[in-house]
Amino acid sequence: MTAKEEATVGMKQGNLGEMKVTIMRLLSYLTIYQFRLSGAIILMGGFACAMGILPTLMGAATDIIAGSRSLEELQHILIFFVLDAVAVWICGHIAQRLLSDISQDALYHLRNDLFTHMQTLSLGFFDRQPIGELMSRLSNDTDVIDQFFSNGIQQVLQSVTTVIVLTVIMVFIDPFMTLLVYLAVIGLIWISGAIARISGPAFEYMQDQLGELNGYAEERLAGQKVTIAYRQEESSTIGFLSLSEHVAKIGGKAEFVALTSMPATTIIANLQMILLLVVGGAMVIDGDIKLGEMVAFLGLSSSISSPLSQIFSEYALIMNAIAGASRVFRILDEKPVVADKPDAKPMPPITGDVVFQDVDFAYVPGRTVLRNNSFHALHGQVFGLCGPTGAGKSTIINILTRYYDIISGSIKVDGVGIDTVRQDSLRSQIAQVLQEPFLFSGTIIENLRYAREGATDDECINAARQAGAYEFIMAQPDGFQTFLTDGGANLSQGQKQMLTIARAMVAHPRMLILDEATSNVDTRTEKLIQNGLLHLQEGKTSFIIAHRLSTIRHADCILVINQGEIIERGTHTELMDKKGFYYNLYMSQFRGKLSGITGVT
Amino acid sequence: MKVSNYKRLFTLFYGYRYWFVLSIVLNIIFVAGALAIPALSAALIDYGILEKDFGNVLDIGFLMLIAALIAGVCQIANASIAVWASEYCAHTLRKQTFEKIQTLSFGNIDRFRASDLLVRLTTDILNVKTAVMQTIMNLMQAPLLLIGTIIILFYTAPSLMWIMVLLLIAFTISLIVYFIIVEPQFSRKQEKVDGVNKALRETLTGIRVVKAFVRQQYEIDKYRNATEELRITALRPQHVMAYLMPTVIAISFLGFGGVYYFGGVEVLCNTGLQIGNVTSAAQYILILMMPLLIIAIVLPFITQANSSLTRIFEILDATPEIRDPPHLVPITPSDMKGRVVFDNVSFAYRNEKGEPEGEVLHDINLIAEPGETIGFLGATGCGKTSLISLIPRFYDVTKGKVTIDGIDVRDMSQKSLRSLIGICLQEPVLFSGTIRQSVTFGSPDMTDDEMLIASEAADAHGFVMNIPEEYDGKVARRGANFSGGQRQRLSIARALAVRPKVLILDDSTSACDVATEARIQDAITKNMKDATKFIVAQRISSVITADRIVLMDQGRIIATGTHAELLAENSLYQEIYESQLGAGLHSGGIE
Repeated sequence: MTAKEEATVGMKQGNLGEMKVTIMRLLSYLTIYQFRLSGAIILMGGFACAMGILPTLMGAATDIIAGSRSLEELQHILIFFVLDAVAVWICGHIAQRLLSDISQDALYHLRNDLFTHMQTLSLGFFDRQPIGELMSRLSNDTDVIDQFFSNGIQQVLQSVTTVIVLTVIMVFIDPFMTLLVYLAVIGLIWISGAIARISGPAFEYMQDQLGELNGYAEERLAGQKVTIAYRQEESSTIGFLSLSEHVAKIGGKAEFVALTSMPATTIIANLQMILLLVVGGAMVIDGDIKLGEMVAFLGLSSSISSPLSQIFSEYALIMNAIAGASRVFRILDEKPVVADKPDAKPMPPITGDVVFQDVDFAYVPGRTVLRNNSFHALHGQVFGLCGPTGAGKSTIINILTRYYDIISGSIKVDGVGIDTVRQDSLRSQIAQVLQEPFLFSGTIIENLRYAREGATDDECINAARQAGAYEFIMAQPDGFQTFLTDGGANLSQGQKQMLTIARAMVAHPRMLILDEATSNVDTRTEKLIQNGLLHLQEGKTSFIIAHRLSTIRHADCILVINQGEIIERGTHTELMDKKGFYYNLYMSQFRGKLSGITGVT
Repeated sequence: MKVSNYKRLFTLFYGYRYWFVLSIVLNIIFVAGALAIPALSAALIDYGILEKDFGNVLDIGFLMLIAALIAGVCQIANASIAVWASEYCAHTLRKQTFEKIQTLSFGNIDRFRASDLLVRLTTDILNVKTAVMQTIMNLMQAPLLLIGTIIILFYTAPSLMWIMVLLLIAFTISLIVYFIIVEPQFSRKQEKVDGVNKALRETLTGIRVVKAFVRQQYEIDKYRNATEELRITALRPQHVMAYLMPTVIAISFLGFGGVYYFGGVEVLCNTGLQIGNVTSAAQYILILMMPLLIIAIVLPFITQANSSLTRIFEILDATPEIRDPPHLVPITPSDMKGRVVFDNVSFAYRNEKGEPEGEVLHDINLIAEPGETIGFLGATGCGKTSLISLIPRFYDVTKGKVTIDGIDVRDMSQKSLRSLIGICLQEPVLFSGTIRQSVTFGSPDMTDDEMLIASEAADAHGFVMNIPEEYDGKVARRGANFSGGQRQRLSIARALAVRPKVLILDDSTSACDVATEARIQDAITKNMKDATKFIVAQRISSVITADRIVLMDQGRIIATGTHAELLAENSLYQEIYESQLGAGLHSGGIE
């Protein structure tokens, strides 16, 4: 289901009350500018009045020409025309300016509120959906709100005030003719409503199918090399063409219905004019109204239909904005799951004594992924974590840094429960090097300094040296000032990894977490990285998640994890002697040719 | 703007050019009808109301009704032409582009990039479609409306023409201001929006890193700066519009005033101008604004479509890097043995002009006998993947030749050459559909047994049977519902399923654990006894069982031999071995 469909479904499911709350909350971003907003509304009213006065001036001029035939009066009318033009300019200009200022301010605040709030949310929130999805939602939602604030608000205000003012003027001139005008207006609304009812779903269906087509194309183009390798070019084309033809067909229907709305409304507008001319003509002939009044009516009636249809065309935009806003507000109302206790103190400098006591953990309530885990790491020890994929190795790391809160048991660092201190003060002392090196767009030195605000250039450069990154950094076009676009797309995986290690060094961490940082690089680079890591580890308690067992052979203690439980623990030699799970894991690397190898060595 | 783009676009419609003539005729009738209505209303006032003749009022009213209906019907008819033409155009362009892409080679795709091809196939074609529709539906009216209005005024109220000319000049200036100042500012705003979204994306993607280093405040400040820039940039066009729009409205007010005043004076002086002429002249002011409004709305579509067309034609004009030779050597796949020979091969990727640039393989000589398993090992970028890409002729060698059973791969048709080969590319791409379709992708009409053998050998059968629908289970787009290791295993199954003479696995088990990898390799050795097997790997454990291991460095083969031989003789190999498997053998691995 597309976001839009979801929105409409959500809206339809009723809850007008909720919708009202959303609207009020969205508008509250505007209404805090009371003074400017009320000024803008008043000036919009002035603008509408000036628009309404114009046809009456035309009517008055007509009467003078047809009736009194006084040149002097005609000159007065000309002055009024000029004054009206001045009024429309001033009101229009100031109102528009005020409104655009307010709405851009409002957007600015909304965007920043959202961003700031998201920074406080725990990782659990970001796990719930793929980041890409969250991201495209957010930009989509803020975009529709942007459109609504940038154009919608002004259009709606202008249209509403114009309709009100024009109606008042018309009723004042002749109620019966006003009725005629509204007859046509009702026809107009009915026609555009009917067209929208047909074209709306048709367009949605078209969008849907277009999405299908684009999805197919995206997938096939991304896998074009596979298609070539397996000689499936023709079947690929056949699939694409049938989708494309289908899209063209239903697209044609949707577009055609939408395109008829303009001719249809023009016909109605013309019918209205003819009706007014004939009925008004009869009234003028009978002397019920003056010719000028009829002329004024013609003008008024034609300028009332466009704002009215404007309101209807804005309807979809408004609904989209509300749907977008309700999603945005849902995020704003999200509470961080892992929150600091009110009396939380900063974590004192860590020496690195880590105790897990009977720790249970679940990402989703009821589905425990860690059971009954206990271990004790002493200051300066290296702990290796190994086990099959999905065993819970990364989870242990996630709860040690308190990205998530545990269900039961306790985690203590230097005897302090990590849930009693401020998260930030804990995390800032633990450096992590993750499997997927992540760098920000910016220069290399900015990326290094990211670890600690205020780190000097020298500190960063030294860290790069120790991490073994210095040489390749200097080989970049601008050395440390080289700009990394798209998170370092111009660097190899290994180089990126070396930078993240250097970055971790800049942080002056007191404890280390390494999520096997070398699985994606070749042997030589790996060697460089390993050296960098050894530097980083010196004298610090470290936890290393290993995918390749050779990395943790020298660990002080290896925890073998399977299905959320520590099933074996000890040094490499102890575990090998035990001939258990670890032994099998380790030996599987050598399967087959083992005897042949030993024969040679 | 390149006119030639549109000329070329028009050739798509060559067989349908009479529809365009019809569209022009319909537009002319529509405009005539639309312009007749104010003139008729003038007549209604002058000869009906002022003469107090209600019969005339009705007659002229009836004429107006007919004019309105004819105009409406013509516009709707024209709409159907516009819709047909635009959808036809979109479909035809999609068809031509996609078909063209299917003829392109790896080199072309590398240079275009898949994501870029997608944009051209979707967004760009959509832009062209919109422009075609807007042109037929709206743009063609604009000059007709302008000319028609001027002609009518010339006959009915020539003395008010000067007001119209002044208004036209004023509106045109506003339009130019809009295009020169406001439009670029709007696109600058869009750039800033993209910037803000990019900042958001980056922070969200790196949220772990942000939290790990406790830099939330820094990110917030960074984002605030980006949004502040956006705020300022977004305000600029709006501020200009706040001048421009009221100005246009005020000018039209002055125009109305002018028409009524100067027209009125003439009526009072009895120069022959009548009241109806004055009121209809006022209506023509509104009509006069229409063409300019249309241009303001449609022109951006047209310019956008123009650059889109350039990009689309770039694809249509691309020459496939690899083409079948004029004189093919016919082969019978079942008779082929699969003896692959690299004869003094050098290779370089080609640039846009098709010239080789920067050699990545130098003087490669290698013979792979049927049934042999050859492992390739070496650092990233040493040329392993390039080397195996030459066998199915994804790229052409720049020197030397690659032969299969003595036949140069460039002398075979690409189809028959590739039917000999089962290849697993580095990225395990799966297409959406069922698992069955994925495995049988290379030859969709294979039997279930053949499919099962392949997927069992690839160690995929087990997890497939855990899915309720088994082989009819869905594969999501790009195989997103499978883990990396599962995708790799399915793509190995796909390669095995075609029963190739030459099997190539390019780092295809990197996401599988060592035990799985071992099972797969054993099964391949058993099942594919006769096939020549090339296995590219990062891990030594992936190639340890190969008959021969080829060690590569910087585009050259530096050593060839069995694991035992290399371990005994080659220092680089020892180094790799040491770092990956370590001294495990001494420290308690073997007793």
